[in-house]
Amino acid sequence: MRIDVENKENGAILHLDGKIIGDGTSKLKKIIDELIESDAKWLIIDLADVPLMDSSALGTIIMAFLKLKERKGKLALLYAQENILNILEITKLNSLFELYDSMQSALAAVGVDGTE
Amino acid sequence: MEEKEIILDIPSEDRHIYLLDLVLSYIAREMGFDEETKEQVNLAVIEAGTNAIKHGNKGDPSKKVDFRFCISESKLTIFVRDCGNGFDLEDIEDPLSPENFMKPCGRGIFLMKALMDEVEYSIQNKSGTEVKLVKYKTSEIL
Repeated sequence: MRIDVENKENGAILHLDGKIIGDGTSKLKKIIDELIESDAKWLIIDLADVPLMDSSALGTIIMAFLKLKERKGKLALLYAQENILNILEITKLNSLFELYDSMQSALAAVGVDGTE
Repeated sequence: MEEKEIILDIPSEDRHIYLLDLVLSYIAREMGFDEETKEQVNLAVIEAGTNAIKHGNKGDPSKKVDFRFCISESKLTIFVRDCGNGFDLEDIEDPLSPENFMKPCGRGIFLMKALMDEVEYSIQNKSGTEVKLVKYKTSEIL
């Protein structure tokens, strides 16, 4: 699993590539924790190339959501694929997370002007 | 189709989950599961394996998690066994209840049950836990 971090003002876009399972989840948690510790106010997680994620990965994203919410920040999930949407539906987490299918709308949701 | 059995033993380290995923993908493809069902089976077994590594064997790499894949014409049956002390199934909470919904953990067994046709635990205190997961080839659950 590969994670590319695109740092922006007050936040970051995480481009994930591969299944988020096993130690891939620990890797994701470490990166998100570091971003939040460095005072990120928003995160966009790009799931375009993620065919599957496990419940530990869901837990990592829930923790990120809660930590960002504490500081009035935002978390957006972008381009979630069918399998991921199914898992979010089964766990009802689709009612918690904000899901977007365009970068521009995700950026707007976290308060960034996507036209830059 | 003759019934076949494949056995995989992995040390209790979560990096080996990717190997489990590869083996599962191979088996599911050989059995003719469609892509969506294949990923459902993979996730359910990955959840079982991760529980066995983290909770059963407490991440001790000297302890193994045993996977037994039984392949037949009509179904795939997977047995996942750890060396842990077991647990009480009644202690498992509903992740959809309001008090648990925002918790970052506790969705593994729930997902297994949602994604597979049968999930059955056999818990022998002090001698390990075994979970049996079954997926029929014709089932449609979502």
